[in-house]
This record gives sequence, structure tokens and C-alpha cells, in this order.
Amino acid sequence: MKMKRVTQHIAFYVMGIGMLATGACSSQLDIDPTGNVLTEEAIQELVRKNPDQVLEPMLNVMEASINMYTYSNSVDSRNFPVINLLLSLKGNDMVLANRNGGWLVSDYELRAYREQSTARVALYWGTLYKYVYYANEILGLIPADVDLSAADGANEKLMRYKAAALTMRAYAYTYLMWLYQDDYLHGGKDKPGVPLHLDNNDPFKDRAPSETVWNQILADATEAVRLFNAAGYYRTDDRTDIDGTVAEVVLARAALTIGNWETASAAAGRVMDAYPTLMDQVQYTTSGMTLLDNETIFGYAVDANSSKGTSSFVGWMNPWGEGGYGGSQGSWVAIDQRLYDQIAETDYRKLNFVGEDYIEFTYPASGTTIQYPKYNSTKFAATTLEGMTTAYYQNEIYMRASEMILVKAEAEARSGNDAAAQQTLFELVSKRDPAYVKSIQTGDALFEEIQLHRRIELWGEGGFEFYDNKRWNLPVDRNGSPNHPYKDVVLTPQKDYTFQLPLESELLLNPNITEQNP
Amino acid sequence: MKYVPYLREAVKITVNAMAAVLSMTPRCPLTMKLTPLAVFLLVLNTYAETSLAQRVSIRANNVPLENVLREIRKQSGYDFLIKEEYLSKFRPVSLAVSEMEVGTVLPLVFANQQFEYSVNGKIITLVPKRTSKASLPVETVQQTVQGTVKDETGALIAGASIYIKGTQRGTMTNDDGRFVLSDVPAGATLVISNTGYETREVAVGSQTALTITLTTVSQEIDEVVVVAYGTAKKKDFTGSITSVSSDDITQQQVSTVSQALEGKVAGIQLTSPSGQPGNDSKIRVRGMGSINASNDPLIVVDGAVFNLGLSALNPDDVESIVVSKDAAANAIYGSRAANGLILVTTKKGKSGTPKIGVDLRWGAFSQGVPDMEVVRDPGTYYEYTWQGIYNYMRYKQGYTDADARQYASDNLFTANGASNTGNGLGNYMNYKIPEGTTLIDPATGKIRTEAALLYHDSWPDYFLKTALRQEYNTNISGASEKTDYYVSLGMLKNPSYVMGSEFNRYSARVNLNTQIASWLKGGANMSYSKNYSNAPTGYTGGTTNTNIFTFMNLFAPTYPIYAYDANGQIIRDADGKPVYDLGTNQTYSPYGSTARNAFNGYSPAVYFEKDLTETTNDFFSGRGYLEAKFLKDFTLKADVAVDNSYQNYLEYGNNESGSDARDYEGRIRSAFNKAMTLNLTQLLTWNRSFGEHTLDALVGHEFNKFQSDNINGTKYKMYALDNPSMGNAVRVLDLTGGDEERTLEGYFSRVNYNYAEKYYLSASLRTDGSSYFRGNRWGTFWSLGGAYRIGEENFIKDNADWITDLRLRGSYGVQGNNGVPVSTRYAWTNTYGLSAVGSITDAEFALSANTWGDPSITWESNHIVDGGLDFRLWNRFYGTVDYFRRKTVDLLLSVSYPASAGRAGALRNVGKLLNTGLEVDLGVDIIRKPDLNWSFNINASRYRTTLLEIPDNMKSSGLDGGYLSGNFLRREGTDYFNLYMYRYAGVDQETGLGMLYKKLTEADLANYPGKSVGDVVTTTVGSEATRFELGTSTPDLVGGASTTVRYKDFDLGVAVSYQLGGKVVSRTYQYITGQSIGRGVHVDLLDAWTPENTDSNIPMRMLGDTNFGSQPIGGGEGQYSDFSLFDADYFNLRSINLGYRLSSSLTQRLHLQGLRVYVAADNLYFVSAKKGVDPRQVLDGVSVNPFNYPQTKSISFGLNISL
Repeated sequence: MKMKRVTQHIAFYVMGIGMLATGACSSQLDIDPTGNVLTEEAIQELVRKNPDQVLEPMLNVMEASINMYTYSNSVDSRNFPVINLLLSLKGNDMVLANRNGGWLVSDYELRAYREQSTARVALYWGTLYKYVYYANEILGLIPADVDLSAADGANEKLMRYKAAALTMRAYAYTYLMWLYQDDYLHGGKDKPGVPLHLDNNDPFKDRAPSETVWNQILADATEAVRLFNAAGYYRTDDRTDIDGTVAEVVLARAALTIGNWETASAAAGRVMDAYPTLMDQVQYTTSGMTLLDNETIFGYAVDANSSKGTSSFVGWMNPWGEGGYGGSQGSWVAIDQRLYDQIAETDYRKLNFVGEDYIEFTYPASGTTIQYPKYNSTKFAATTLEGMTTAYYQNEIYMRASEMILVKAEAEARSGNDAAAQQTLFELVSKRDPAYVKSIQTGDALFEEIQLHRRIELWGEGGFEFYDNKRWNLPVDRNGSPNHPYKDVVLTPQKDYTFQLPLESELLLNPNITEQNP
Repeated sequence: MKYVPYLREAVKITVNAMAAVLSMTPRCPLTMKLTPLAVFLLVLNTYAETSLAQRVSIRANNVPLENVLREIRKQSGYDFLIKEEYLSKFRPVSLAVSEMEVGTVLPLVFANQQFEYSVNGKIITLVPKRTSKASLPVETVQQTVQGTVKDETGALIAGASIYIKGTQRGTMTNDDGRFVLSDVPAGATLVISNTGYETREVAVGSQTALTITLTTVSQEIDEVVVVAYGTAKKKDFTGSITSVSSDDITQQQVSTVSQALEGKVAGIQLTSPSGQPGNDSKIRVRGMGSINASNDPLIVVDGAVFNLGLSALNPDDVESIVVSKDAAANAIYGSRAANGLILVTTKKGKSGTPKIGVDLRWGAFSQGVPDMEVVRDPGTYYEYTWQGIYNYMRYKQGYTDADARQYASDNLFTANGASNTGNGLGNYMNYKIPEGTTLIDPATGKIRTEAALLYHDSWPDYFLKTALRQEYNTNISGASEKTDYYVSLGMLKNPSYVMGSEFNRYSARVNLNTQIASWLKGGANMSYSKNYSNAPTGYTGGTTNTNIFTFMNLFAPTYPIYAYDANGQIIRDADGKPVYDLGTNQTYSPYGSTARNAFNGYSPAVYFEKDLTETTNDFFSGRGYLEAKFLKDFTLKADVAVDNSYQNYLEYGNNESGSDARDYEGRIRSAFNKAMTLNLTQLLTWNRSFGEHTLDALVGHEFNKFQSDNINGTKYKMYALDNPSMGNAVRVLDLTGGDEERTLEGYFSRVNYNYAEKYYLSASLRTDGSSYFRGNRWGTFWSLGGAYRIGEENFIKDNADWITDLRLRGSYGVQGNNGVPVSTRYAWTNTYGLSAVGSITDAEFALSANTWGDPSITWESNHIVDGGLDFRLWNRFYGTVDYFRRKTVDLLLSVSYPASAGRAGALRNVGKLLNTGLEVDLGVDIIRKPDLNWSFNINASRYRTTLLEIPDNMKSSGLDGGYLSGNFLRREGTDYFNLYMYRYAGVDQETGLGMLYKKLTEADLANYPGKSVGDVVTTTVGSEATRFELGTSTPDLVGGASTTVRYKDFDLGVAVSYQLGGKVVSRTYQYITGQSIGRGVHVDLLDAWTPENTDSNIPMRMLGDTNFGSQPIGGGEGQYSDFSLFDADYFNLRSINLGYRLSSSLTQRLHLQGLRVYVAADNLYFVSAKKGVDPRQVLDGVSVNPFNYPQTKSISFGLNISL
């Protein structure tokens, strides 16, 4: 009897403990990522099996990032073309002719754009270093044991990934150096450059000397051109991918910046050979700079999903975009009358600006008619793309061959080869102005003529005027312009063109940086 | 002598039953297949079984005594030792008691028996009653006394016990509250008692009919509260808890119970960024313990963790909410309880006749927090614009006074500072003026007297209205001997006061508990709730075109809603319908085409009406348990809880007006999300008393799994009008889906010990494993707590009888926080994200690294110390004081890298954070009379959050070792909410511009001769200014107060909430004190600085100049000056509830048990440091949106009927 009681006790405890144990589903605590998340382990395994499966999609992200990524994604900073537009506004040639609230006003009025605590300096810095990061990611995943010294029938794609990554890295560092140190030829050479990340392993780097960074840019671009050539990707038909000609553009820009005229001229010349056909008059004056064709080297094809919409570059710059910030919302830009007046009447580039007192335009959805005044830009006024609902869903051009003609001409002129420069300039301008007669200017006068045509040709594109003023050591001075509503500030090279390193996003988090720009 | 073998029988049955339970206990593979139907569950537990304190409920009408004893044994665990020969002498018993202590019940049971009893441990032994009559004084007169027992509201009390003092003779009141007691000696005193009421003694004297009113015990020290994995008497519990009763909740008219906690609980702070009905408030218990992981408390409903959100519960179904705050109370929840625990218990049936309750409310629902004072009058707005143009021309361009006046009048509709290309007035001309004149008379700067108003639309009048709120709840509840039940149905229709916002809920609940066998109990709580809301995302604030509050406050009052013709008449289309102004020249102006300064091309009047942001949630929640008692002291419970939610989200942008019409020809987004939480718990408890020692112990196991799947997509280009369905659209914009899963498993135990209900000790230990972690998956959490009821000591009892109760508590423990954000749930490894590039029909893979993992990532741990004091003095003043110190170590911190590293933060276990605070909760029963009852309660809490440790790379030497985070400067040893902002320095008397302060550095000295480093100067240039540390934004005190008055049949409850100290930014103020034309203007600006009005703190209005003050500085939107920083004090009249209970004679004639009519008002009055600023919208004082949805106010009339 007593024995039985004890047995029951024991039976009961055993069962009780057993019951607790049944829930011990520790195996269910292992939950691996699903859906669109992959572990590094999975990625490494995929790379071993088939590098394309990893590197191709990573290349896609890197290429798309120029459209997709900025450090601070806001209405006036949707993507790299838009943040370059903010620089175009900090010059002589572009006028913020009509305001929409406060948008673009601070940029145009040159308020607080270069100081360490302003959001703008962090914007460019963070955006460009992200591009470097994407590039280094690809470089880090390319199997180390594959020989890429020459094509062998199996390594071409790897060569392409590596070349594209090197191109992107050089591209980003070019802009970083353009923004965060004085021009190489105007005192910047011997000053500190920017932190040089060649892999993604060390987050805390001090600034490398300017010269070191520029040498790396040239080396990366040169190697990229070699790899693209060797792998057979020098010039692909698709204008939206990075190929050898994109690497050449990066190389030419960098070489021009550091005064390596020979390399600049040669690289630009090779691009010109690859893109012999420029936009014609109709394309130049009616397409709104959206054609991924003819002279376009590198650009981006839009759809309703990937477009940045009302605040995309075209959203800001296309006055016919209903709803766009630069369209019906009224942030309208114009050309400085001083520059407009220098465009020959026979030059069809003049047609990209309103020549009458105003023109009328009626927005299709609301039926509203606007009066669009004289000097305002229609350069980016594209009409609605087929299959799209509004006019600001548009392709964008990042690089085009006309720039390379101007690079070549400038390099030739600055190296003293006036005859070649005159001929090169003629190749561009004669296409724009049937009445253009080949220049007979030499020396500084020829250089100035090249500068003028560069300002006209590239007006409003890619922030070029800002970077060019800096390279050419020219001030921004709006006094004397009849149509600049804001003239109060003069930018004096070089300091006013050189941003400080961002305080919050860099200096305060990076104990290794020793020197800030003044 | 032969004893009835109850014990052995019980063991046998129990063991067999346990085998059955075991076979039903889910094993792993089975777990997956469980449905809510397979549920068995548990509940609680007889947690504090001490001498004769267990409560039993018995209804007996002439039932044999042995049956009654059997029932008592079953419910209480006491065994009876009875000689078989006694059985024949037992007399039948009539008795009705509910939740009454055994010690009280037994005298009633044995009142008319020939037996007495003695208690020895858990054994009650019966002995024949000694014929002690001889020893009692001989009573010469015996009488029969009858009477009625009521509460102070006049409601009859059934089951109250009445006995003659000094004897064991007594009886109970019946369902009508009546009792009859015979043979009452003359001069006897009756003792009348009932659970929840003060015990009363009444001298009978010569009366034979008595009416006795019992007073409710206001703050019961004997109150039984729900705690983690069980219940406890408040006086026996070593942890820090606050409970909120169903009365506190239903007194208010909240759409979700989280809103009902405002001002009710010391130590919590609520924030509600939006007034959208049905939105749960964010709850913070004892400050902020985490930086990047969750700060939300764990919510447990009826014993199981609840993921559905409190709005899935009908507030009318809630019996109590317990906010549990310290380690002793929470550590047994291990890894999830670091941020506090909210235990919600739903109602259950009570014994007595079945009750039917009906509660009906109809209310007026309106805006509860006033708007900022914006200029609404077009005339004032024009004059103000004129002034801005005048000032610019006069002081910036150097015009003469006369020229500037003329210029401003002539160019009122075009001047915009330096450029003359149109301004924000957009040619909208609300007045008619004589030909050839200007609207503003240049001589006076005022509207010309001849001007006649043509049109003016008030946008707030158009978009805001008082809505009808309707709430209907009904429930049936009751309990038989073995089963109790509660069934409810509820409906809430809560359209909001603002167009396009609405919340409805339909809910049903069945709670059932039944005694299956003498040793086995089971039950289930099942609820269903359908929540519908139309809650436009834009209403949460921000200057977007989808935010109705932006339109109402940031737009010039001169913009009309309708299109007007030259005569000021609304333009009508061919069908006679009014045409809306789209901001694109629909309205006539003598000055040219009309255009608003932003958001043109559509009419908000159309799309706020037509667009939808609908969320429909179907919530199914089930909790079931089986509970077996065995071996007399043991209880085993198996609990299964399943919570399912099915969510359907629809976002529709119409194809007529609005940005979706323009950009997409109409757009529709649909999302389905299905989620399930499964929670399995097994608990084994053991209770035993040895003399004065009481010990209970618990071991348990819990498994929790969450799983969700979603699919969502957007289509555009829509065909038919007003047809918000996916089929009405032809192009696909995006289509995605995903899933999420997480699991958690824990083993836990707890021991509570007390000696003589005087000295208490408790300890708990838990180990948890989480799928969020790999390398360091298992964490161990524990607590130790103790309490000392000094009030029970004889030296207090004897010397200080004014001390009713006095108790000291203390605890220490470690709790965890595994609430990593979903986006970093794989923080234990490096991850890559797959996305798409290219067009939707031609997409390509895109891959990039996203998070940087740390294989050793693990829980945050909170080390929590709590010291508390509970007291009750003169049985009238009562209160609780708690001090806490909560230190978080191994913070899950998103470590920032410099931007040049190219990668954002990565989650790491670094850093330490400290919260310390004090909570006080005081109450007093001011008047306690049968007809008048008045009590008052106030609570306050104060806390501070200090950062103790951060990673080295975030310690910047430029910031004295701190790092910047938005508008805060954070460093070790400094308050976590240390504001770091620009400081507004008033108006520069030279230029009229706003100034900011600047602290000089070495580099500045060249420009400031004679100054030294560290000197503070003023500047009118925004980029020159520097930021200053302005101290914490945390309030000094947060709390509430309430008072209850009952007078005869009237009752009144008033509750308020308040906050003192702290700082809050108003971004709305920032926007409407800006300088551009066409925007809303705060009336403060009407008193701006001018050379004639130099005392003003508001910069001169200069249209066309950048004037720092309210403007964000540094180009971004993120950094402000203290121009729009206000004190975060507020006072809110949270609720008033005034009721009248109809007298029982009247209700009886209506065949009702009771009827109460009442008026309830919520948020009737709100005041803060600046009109329109609501500090409750944001916890840190800074991360607040402009133009957000103001909180609501409601005034309802209600009927509460008992059938």
C-alpha cells in the first residue's frame, strides 16, 4: 500500500518532467533568412559555384545606384543627377527664375553649402562613398585565384565585373576630389585628399594625400579600360551599363583635372571614335536630353516604378512636367542672359531657351495654361514617354560624347596644341551651328572659346559649370547679369568651391581624420 | 474508526487524468498543426494558499452537508476528517457565497450543525459541538431579525454574510439582498461582511428590521491581482505593480484600452502621435531602456503573450489591467519583460443569477486639442503680406517710406523680395475694389474701406465636423456550481471629426471555465474582433499633399475651396455641381491666372473625400487550459494560446483629383497579411503551508512562435470613377510579398515564501532561447524580492493603531530585451538583400550587402533595483512609493560608422544606459458614509535616462566625448535626451533680422577682435551659428489624478492627467512662422519687430530675405533653433463621468435589475505651454511631425442596463 503510493509519486514526477520536456523544441529556434534576404554564407557558396549569379546582380545595383541612391533621399536630393543640379545652381550660368516655396533657394543663393555642419556637404560625401563601397564589395567577391591578366574564354565576365567596379570607384573618387579639396592645379595637389578605401575592411581611415588619390583614380580607370578591352566589353550596345567607354570618360576627366593632357586627350579621342554620331538639331532641341542613343555613353532607362517622379532630375528640369517641381510646381530655371547673348543666332543650342517674351504651354491633365518667360530653359523639356502617364518619367543621360570632344579640345589647347584644339572644337560646334567657322584663336583666347562652348553645350548638365569654374579657377559673379534675381554673393576660388568634410557623419565618427578643410 | 478515503481516490483519478493530458500535450511536429480548437489551458493557480484564506464559491439550497464539504475541499484543497458515524447527524445546508474565504464560510456552514471543527494545517477535523450553552450568558429575550443589505449606490448585495458576534451562528443574504436570522439575543451585535466591502458591526438593540449599507473598500490591501503566471494578493506580492480596474476603463470612452491608461499609472508615459481613433498609444514603462531595440512593454492577455495590439480588445470586456514594473514581478518573463509587463484580464462570469448587461453610448466626437492660432482672415493676411513687401523695399532696398508704401500696394500680388515674378498670393483676390485702386491703401497699409469681400472659404469648417460616436456593448454572464461563463458582443462606430478618418469595431467574446472533475478544471477564452479603420497615412503629419492638416493650416486663408467667378459666385459645371479650385486658374482674378503656392492641380476637397486608406483586421484569439490538481498540493496546467490576425489593407488614390490622378490616372494598393502567434505553456505549481510558513513554487516551460505572410501590390491607370478595386486598374506598379518567423522558448521557475504573512521572499529564474540569436542564444534571467509587513508587527499594532497597513518591499533582478527591430533580426550574420532593377516586366536581379552581423549578438540585459513602500493609515490614507534603478547593459546599439566607410550602423551589444526614477501613488477616502462617499487619488512619477557607456569611435573629442544624434548631443554620464540646438537670440535692432547665438572658436577670433574663445555672440547668418546644450527634454513629473464621489444614487468620476517640465519642439510652429507668402501665418507674427515696435521677439517680416529664427538651420530640416521649443507642461481633463442610478423601486417596475444613466466626457479641456502644442505626441520632445492629427474629444450620453 505504502509502496504503491511512492510509485505513483514517482510516476507522476516523471510524467510532469516529461511533459515540460515535450515543448523543448530547440530545433525550431534556428530560423534562417528567407525571402529577399541571404546570408553571407549563402552568397559565398553561390560565388564559388557560379560567380555570375552573385556578381551580375551586384553590378546591377552598383550601376543603378547613380539613379537609386543618395545619402539623404529628399525632394531636392533624389539621386546623383539631382544633387549635381544643386551645384549647377551655384554658378553664373543658371538662374533660378521662379521659385516654388523655398525649394532650391538656398542652393541658388549660395547659403550654407560648404560648411562642415550643413546637410549638403554630408549629402555628396555619403553618396559618393556609398558608390565606393558598392565597388569594393564586388572587388572583394571576385575569386582571388582567377587570373585576369588576359582573356581565356572563361574569365571575361569576371574581368568585366572587376573593370566596372574599378570604373565606379574611380568615378566616385573623382567627384570626391573635385568637391573636397582645391583643384589639383590650383594648390590642391599638395594638400590632403580624401580617405582612400580600396576594400571595405577598415571603416576608420585618415585622408590620403591628393596625389595618392588621383594616382589611384588614374590607375583604376586605366586598368578598367584594359580589362574591358581584353574581355570584349569596350563598347556595349546597351547605353545603361558601364563599359570600356565609360571607364575612358572617367580616365579622361581625371587626367584633364590633374593636367595630364596627353592621357585626357587620348582617352577622349577613343570615346569620340566609339560614338561618332552626335545628337542632331531635332534631338538636341526637342528630346529634353533623354535619348539613350547616338552620343549617349552612359545613362539610365526609366519606368514608372524606378523613376524618382516629381523630384527626379527631369521632374525638376522639365517645365512641361505636370506636377513636377520644375514643371507645374514652378521651380523654373533660366540661362544667364550674359551667356545667352553669347550664343550665336545660328547656333541651334540657343533654341533650348525661350527667345520670346514668353511662350504659352497648357498642361494636359488640368488644362492649365502657363506663360513661360524669356530665357527660361526648355533644354530638358521632354514630352510624355510612350507607356508613361506624365512627362517627368524620363530617361537620363549621365555621360555623352560632346563632353569628350570638349575635354579633348581643352587638353590639346592647354598642352599648347592649338591647331588640334581648333579642329576638335570645330567637330562639335559645327554640328551645333552650321555657320560656325573653325576658330583661329590661339593660346588663352582659344582656351576661353573652348570654355564658352563647354558652358553652352553642357549648360544645366551634371553640375559641370561648378566643377569647371573650380578647375578653371573662375569666380561666380552675378553682378552685371540682367536677369539674375540674386546677385549678393561672389564665389572666390578655390576656398569657396571646396567643401569642408562633414562633421556629424564623418569627423565625429572617425577619430583618424587629422585635418579639416579651412 | 474508518475515514472516508478522499485522498487516495483523488490521487488515483489525478494520475489517470494526467496521462490523458500528457497525450494531448503537443510535441514538436504536432505543434505546427495546432488550431485554436485544440486548445486546453490553464489558468492560474492558487497561488497564495494560506490559512483558511482560499476563496470558495458555493450555492447550496438544502444540500447535504457532506456535499458542501466535498465542494469546499475541491475548491480550497482542505481535507475533512470525519468519523463515519457523524454522517447520519449532518443537517442539510442552505448557503450562497461567492469568492469568500474559507475561514468565513465554515462558521456559516456549521451554524446549524451539531458539529464544530478544528483546523490543523490542511486538515479540518470535525468534532461534536460541546453543549456550551450553559457557559454562555443566558439570554432572556430571543428575537427574529430580518433585514436588507445594500451597497452605497443602493444596489442589493446578494451573498453577504451575517453572523452574531461572539458566536458561529449566522446566515447569508439571498439574491434580493435579504436575510432572516432567528433566535438573536437581545443586545447582540451583528457582523455583516462581504468581499469587496468594509465589514460592519450593527447593534441590534430591539430592532427586528434592519437596512444595512456596506461601503466599498476603496483600495483593498487584500485585492487579488493577476501577476505573471498566476495571481496574488497585493499584500503578498513582492513586486511593484499597479492595477487599473474595469471601472477606470469604462468610465472613459476610448477606442482602445491603451488610451485609458493616461494618467492612471505611476511610472508609465503614453504617447499618441495621432488622434486617429483605434490607434494604440505607445506605452513606456519606467523610461527608455533601449536605444535601438524595442521599448514596448510585453502585453499578456489572459495568461499568454498577445501580439495583436490592444485595439483588438473591446475595452468593455476587460476586467483589469495590471502594469507590472520591476524585476520581482517580471523577471519570470525573462527575455521579454525588460520594458515592463501589461497584464490584461478579461471578464468572467460570477455566481448568482445570470446577469445581462447592456451599455449604450451616443457621443459627440470632435477635436480635442486646439489648433495653433493661425491667421484665418483674408484681410489680415493681405495686410500682413503688404507689410512684408513694404519692409523689404523700405529697409533692404532703401526705398523711401512713401515709395515703399506705393510699391507694396501696387505689387501686392507679384512682389516676392528681389524677384518680381509672382508670389504666394497667386493672384487670389478675395475682395472687390473700385477700378484703378489697390486693395491695400498705401497711406494706411490697411484694406481699403471700399473693398467688399467677394468670397472666403474656411478650410477647417469644410474638413472638420462633429461626428456621432456610437458604442453598444452587451454581455451575459453567470456561474453555476461548476461552470462560469461570460459572453459579450460589442460594436463601436467611431467616425472621426476630420474627413476621411474612421474606426469601427465589431467584437465577440466567450469566456468559459468549468470544473470537469473534482480534480480537473478547464476553460477557454475565445474572442473575435473585426477592426476597420480608414486612416490616411498622410494624417500622421508632415507637409505632404496627403495630409489634410497641412492644407488647413499651412495654406494662405485667401485660397478658396471652390472656384469663384468675377462676381464672387461659385462656378458650377453643366450639371450644376460646384467646380473646385485646383490651384490652376479655376478661380477668377483681375490680376491674372490664379495658382496656389504648392500642391496645385487637384482639389483636396475631392480627394480627401474619395481617397481611402483602409485597414480591415480580423482578429481571432483563443486561450484554453486544463488544470489538474493532484497529490493535494500540486497543480499542473497546460495552456495553449493562438492569436491569428488577417489584415487587408487598401490604399486608393482616385483618378479624378489629386497627385495619383495626375501621376497614375488613379492608383490602388492592396496588401494582405496573415499572422499567427502560438504560445504553449506548461506549469507545475506546488503550495504548502506548515504552521506559519507558506511556500509555493512553480516550474514551467513556454514555447512561443510567430509566423506571418504577406503579399502586396500596386496597380495604376484606373478606368471607372469611384471604383476602388484592383480589377479597375490595368497596369502593375509593383508586386511583392514576404514572410517572417520567430520563435522563443523558455524554462522558468519561481518560489514564494512567507512567514506569518509578515515576512516575504520570492525568487525566480528563467532561461530563454531566441531565434534572433545564434552564438549566444540562451540567456538567463532571475530575480530576488522581499517584503516586510511592518504593520503586522505587534509593536505597531499595539502602539500605532492608526497604521492600518505598512509594508516595505525590495527587489533586484535581471531581465532581458530581445526586441531587435525586424530589419535586423538576422543580426547574427552578414546579410545580403535581393531586389530588382529595371522595369517591372523586364526586371533583373540586384544584390547588395545590407546588414553586418555579429555572431555573438545577444540580449540586452536590464538590471533592475526596486524599493517600495505601501501604506494605509487610519484606514483612510493609502499610497505607494517606489524607487527604481534600471541599468541596461549589452545595449543592442546600432553602432555608427563614418560615412566614408560606406556602410550604415550595425547592431552590436555595446553600451550602457541607466534609468532611475521615483513613483508615488497616493489616495484618500475623504468621506465614507453610507450615503456619501468621496475619494481622491493622485499619482506622479519622475525619471531620468542617462547614457553610461558608448563605443569608443562614437566619442568625438570635438564634442567632449559625445556623439550627435539629430537634435541631441549624447555622451557618457549625460542625460540621454540632452538637447543640442541652436539658440534664438531675438531680433537684431539694426536690421530687424532674427539672430542666433554663436560660441566663438579659435578660428573666429580674427573676425571678433577683443573676444576670446568660448565667448558667445549673436549672428544673423544661420551658418555662422553654433549649437548649445540645452538640458534634457524629459519632463520632471508625469502623472494623473482622479476623484470619485457617490451621493445617494448619483456618482461622479473625474480624472485628469498632467505633465510638468520637459521640452517639446513644435515643427508646426516652425512652419507657420516662416517668411514666405502663401503659407499659413501664426498670429504671433502680426506683432513682428518693426523700427516702431522694437520690443518684439519676432523678426521683421521681410518677404524675400532669409530670416533665421524659426527656419531650420544648416539646410536640412533636422536642426532647429529653440525658437520653436516649448515647455512640455500640459494639463488634460481626461474624463468626467456623471451617473444616476435609478432607484430599485423604479427599476423593478421596469423589470430591470438596475439602470444607470450617465454623461461621459473625455479630453474636455487641454492646456499646454503654447496653444496647439501637444507634448503627448512625442516622447523625446523632438522627433515630432508638423501638422499632425490632434487628439480627440468626446461627450457621450449613456445607458447602462442590468437585466
